[in-house]
Amino acid sequence: MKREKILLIIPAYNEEENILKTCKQIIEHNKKNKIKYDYVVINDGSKDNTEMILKSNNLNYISLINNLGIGGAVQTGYKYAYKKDYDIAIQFDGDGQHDVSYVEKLIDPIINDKANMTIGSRFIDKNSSEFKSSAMRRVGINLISFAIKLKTKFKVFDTTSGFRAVDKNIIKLFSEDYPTEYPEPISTVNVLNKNYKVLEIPVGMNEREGGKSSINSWKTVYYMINVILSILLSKKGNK
Amino acid sequence: MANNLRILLVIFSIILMIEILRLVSKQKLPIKYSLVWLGSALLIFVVGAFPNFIGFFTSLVGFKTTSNLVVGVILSLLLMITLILTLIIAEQKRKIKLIVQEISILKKEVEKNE
Repeated sequence: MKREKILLIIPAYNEEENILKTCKQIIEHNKKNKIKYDYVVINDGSKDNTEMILKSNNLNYISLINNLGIGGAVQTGYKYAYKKDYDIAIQFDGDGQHDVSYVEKLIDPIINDKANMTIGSRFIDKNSSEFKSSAMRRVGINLISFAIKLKTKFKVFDTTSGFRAVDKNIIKLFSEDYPTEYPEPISTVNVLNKNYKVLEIPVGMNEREGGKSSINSWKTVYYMINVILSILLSKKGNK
Repeated sequence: MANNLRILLVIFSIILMIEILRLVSKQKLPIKYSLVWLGSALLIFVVGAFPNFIGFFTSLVGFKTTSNLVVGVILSLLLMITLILTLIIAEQKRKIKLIVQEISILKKEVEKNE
């Protein structure tokens, strides 16, 4: 079996508290399991010491010369993956929410050609995750889930999960076109619209270990309108 | 339509046209973007100079007075111009994003080779 080139894309904005721990976790994991997950941190114009930490610890990173927001940052990672000819790219949060030991589970269906994209889900199997989320957030996620079902006939449970793996086709797709704002649900719909196969894989996630969620309650209404309109107006197309 | 309003519209439209042409000749305003403004100024001029021509449209569209039609037309023009500007901003945002991404990746490659 050929060995896939695998890249973890870690977007980071003001993550001085967590970023070193996140990278070390990946390096440790590689050593322990004798595997090779490459990683690249995309520093999205952080105003704190994130860049200094990345540089002084000799971590692999790209520092955006200007803040682009989560969508633009993650897309930079996909562009990098495309240029470097990676077979699989995994989005991995820099705030300690995601656990690198689940990556294997996530990429397994892609390696075995069962899916083009996998989403690490907190909800699909309640036992495997102790992730708590507010009632408000759940209502929002269910609404988005309903909109996706309406548009693509496909049920996605954890629509906002930022823990995802994609194959080479999707790396190319995302490097060319990736939504700027609230990219997770919208990019999932773009993939489904092109008739690629998506699988949801149950994973455990940690509570955020610091830093703030990018979704706050004030912006929730705007977020919902934005995402649902984007999903319903998205264009179907071919691979 | 009252005569003072007519005079005001004609004077205003002429000043607007002169200012736009001046900006274009000083190369501050590209011809491409000046057209929509020149068209607007010309329309305001026509409204002020030939109110009978406009009066016909006033009753046709259903406005009670010609001045209301003038306000309505200018408002629609502004909305249109704003939409065009929003499109231009969106396009520029996309291009800036692309530049930031490509330069940042390039910068990484360059620094690695140093």
